[in-house]
Order: sequence, then C-alpha cells, then structure tokens
Amino acid sequence: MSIPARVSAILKSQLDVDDAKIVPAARLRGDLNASSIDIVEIIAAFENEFNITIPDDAAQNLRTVGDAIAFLEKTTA
Amino acid sequence: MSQQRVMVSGLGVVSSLGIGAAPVTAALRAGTTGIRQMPAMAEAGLKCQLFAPVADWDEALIQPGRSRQTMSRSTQFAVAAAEQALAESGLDPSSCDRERFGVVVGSALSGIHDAVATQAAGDAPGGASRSGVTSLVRFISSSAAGNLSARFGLRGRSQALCTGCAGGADSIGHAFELVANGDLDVCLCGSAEEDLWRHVGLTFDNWGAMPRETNDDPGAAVKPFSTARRGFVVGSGSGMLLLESAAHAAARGARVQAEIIGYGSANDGFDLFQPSGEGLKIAGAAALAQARNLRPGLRIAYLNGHGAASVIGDPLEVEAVRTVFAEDRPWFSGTKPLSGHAMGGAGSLEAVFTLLMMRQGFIVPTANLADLAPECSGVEHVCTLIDTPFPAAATWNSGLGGSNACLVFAQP
Repeated sequence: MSIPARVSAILKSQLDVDDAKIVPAARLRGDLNASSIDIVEIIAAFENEFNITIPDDAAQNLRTVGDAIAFLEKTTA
Repeated sequence: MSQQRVMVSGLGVVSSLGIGAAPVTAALRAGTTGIRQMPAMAEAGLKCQLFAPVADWDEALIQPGRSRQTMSRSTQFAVAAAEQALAESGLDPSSCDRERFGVVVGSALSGIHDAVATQAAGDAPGGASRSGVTSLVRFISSSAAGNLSARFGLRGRSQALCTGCAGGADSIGHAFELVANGDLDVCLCGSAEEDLWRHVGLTFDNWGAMPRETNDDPGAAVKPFSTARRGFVVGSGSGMLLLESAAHAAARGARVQAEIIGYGSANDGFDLFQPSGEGLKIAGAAALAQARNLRPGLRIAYLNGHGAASVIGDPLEVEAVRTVFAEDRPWFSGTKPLSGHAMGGAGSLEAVFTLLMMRQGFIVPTANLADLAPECSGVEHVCTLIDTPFPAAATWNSGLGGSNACLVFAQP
C-alpha cells in the first residue's frame, strides 16, 4: 500500500472521518476535528505503522494530511 | 429520605449465549453452550483449551466508531449491554435529572489487553511514544463507568466496584442501595469482562482449576456438583440492569420487570484462593433477611448458584444453600456449563439469566449433572427444565479474595 493510502487508513481509523475529507490540504485539527489526544494517537500510529520515531519538533509541524505524507515519504525513503 | 423500593426497568446482555434478551433466553431454554474449543489455547500449551467468547461480537455495535477509542473490549461489552437496558426501559437519559442518575460497573480485570499492549509498546527500544495516550482510559478500572457517564451525560455517582467474581452482584447490590437510600433515582449497573484466557485462564490452568479431559466436547466440560467436576471454563461478556426507584418509574409510567428486594455481601476473612463458605452464608442470610422484611411471606423459589464446578467450592456452596435457604428450599441450578465463567462479568450475567427465567417462567437445569456428588446433595437440584411461573429468585457468587454477594429479585 502507498504511503498516502496508509496515512489515509490511519486517519480514517483514528478520526472516524469519510475518505473524501482526507485530502492533502485538510488540516488535522481544523478540518478533521482532531483533538490534542487524537494527535498523540496519530503520531503513535505513524510510528508503529512505519517503524520510526517522530521527534516532538517534527510532530508539531505535521499540521495537514499533506504535511504528514511528505514527512513520512522523506523519512522512510 | 425514607427507603425507596427499587425496580428493574430494563436489562441488557452480551454473552457467549448471544447478544440481547431474546437469543439468550432461547439459548438458556435450549441448554445450548457458548463454550468453544480454542486452537490458540492449544498452541499456547494450556491443558484446558476451552473458552466462552461473546457470540458474534461486532464492535460496530458501538457507534460512533470514534467513541470506541476510549473503550476497552470489556467496556464495549458494558456499553452495548447498557444500551439494551436503556432501550428496554424506554427511558431517555436526557429527560432525567442527570445529577441523580448514576453508574456502577464492576470488572475483575477491565482493559487488561490494553494495559499489556501499552507496556509491550513501551518495553520495545525507543518505543515509549508508540503506546499513545488513549489506552490509559481504556485500562483504568473505572473505564466502563466513566464511558457510560460521559456517553449519556450522567452526573450522579459513577463508580467501579471490583470484588473479583462477586463484582457483578456487588455492583448491582451497591446500585440497589444507592437508589434505596435515596442517593440516586436511576442507576445503570452491572459488570463486564473481556477475553481473559491469556491471563486468568493461564493461572487457573496452572492451578488445575479448569477441566482438561473434555477439550473435544465443550458442552460436557463443566460439571457443577457432579462427582466428575473438574473446574470451570473462562468466559466473557456483560450484564447490565437499569434500576429505578419505584416512585421515578411510576412517575413516567414505566413498565417495570422486577423488584430488587435483597442484597448481602461479605468476605470469608480466610484465604485469597480457598473459600470457607462462611462469607457466602453471611451474604445470603443478609439478603434473605432484607427480602423477608420487604416482602414478608414471599417464597424464594429459585437460586441461581455460583456452581464453578470446584472440587472444594461446590460442597461449601451447597452447605451454604442448606443453611441459608432451609425454609424456602429453592430450586437450585448453575448456568456456567452454558455461559462459561465470565469472572467479574459472571455476577451480572447470572443476575440477567435469573431475571430472564423469572420473566419467562422457566428454570434452567444444571447441565452435566448425571452423577450428583454425595457431598453436594441435600438441596433441590434442578436436573430437567422446569416450566413454571415463580414469584422470586436469588443469585449469588463467590470470588477470589474471599468475596461473596447475593441478590434477591421478586416479580413487581
């Protein structure tokens, strides 16, 4: 499965949102209604899914779906 | 406030015998067992390879899906059962004074899978952050009570009562007292347990407290009160009741199903593993005295026993029946050969089974009781299905740690 598809699956599972809303420009908090707890869960899910560690400063910069995809593509390249 | 009479206005059940009152009633009547052979238990090397999983569980019963993030499987069972109880009662929580609407839900090991998974994530090198944060509210002991309170906006007492395998009866009993004493008008109460064969099952298997010679015949595995009894099979699930003061139920024109007329609870004060039987006698006598005070002359026609098919515990339980119920001599049977032993969930499941039997007018026999043990004789064992209406029934449980609790229900 591609990285965007894996990111989409995690967001769908964590946030219980429709696929149609999970677009690169969607903001995790503003558009997908992620709470601060959700963000911690999503970062943990990314770490488990991609077997990586995401430092706090990098995690803080993952504001949109596109940010997350770009970060994960770069980190796992 | 004077003592309030306490009614059961709804019940819900998630069990190995089915989900909901109708399928569970049918399974009880038919004597169907929910115990299953589990290849994973064989692979793990357990000598007993039987377990009673919740039948046809689908977590999609819990909606919205996002709400499941804060729920262990045990809590999901409790929420599903509570929603059934609310639906049966016809009560809309938003129409109530929610500061007088409480929750009491017990469990022996609520959320243990989430606790184990969180620790495992943290134990991996560099894995601390991978455990996330929501697991915390899935594995705290008050997870079910907290989730139910948040889900329905309930602001009354919200508590978890953890007394091992007596926890279900104690939770219902405690809720009964809260409503009877006027602290609450309404209370959702019961208990729940998720799949514990990897935890409780392992230790009981090591102890030799589970049957080892019937892995290919699940229905014949659990033999309470028989000479061939070799222990119980671990199960899972939840039973939940909606309790309501008689005045509250009458004010909204509710069709109540039963009244709780007695509760007793006591510890053996003896040993963590071995029962003495004394606490069960004290709990039973207290419940019965309260019942006789509330409804003088009412005969307790049936007692749903703990019946864990324990070599030591079964004779002690029968001795307690002979002592406590000497006047009533109730029909006596156990349902664990059918449902399995859901640990902290057992007491509330068996309360629901008892209420379903009282509602429909039948009594389930103890399965696999062809060869009654002499040390378990002298009580009115039910060996074949009895079809008859009856006015009142009791259920009791004993648990690790010496806990015992007894409830008495009557027709309203």
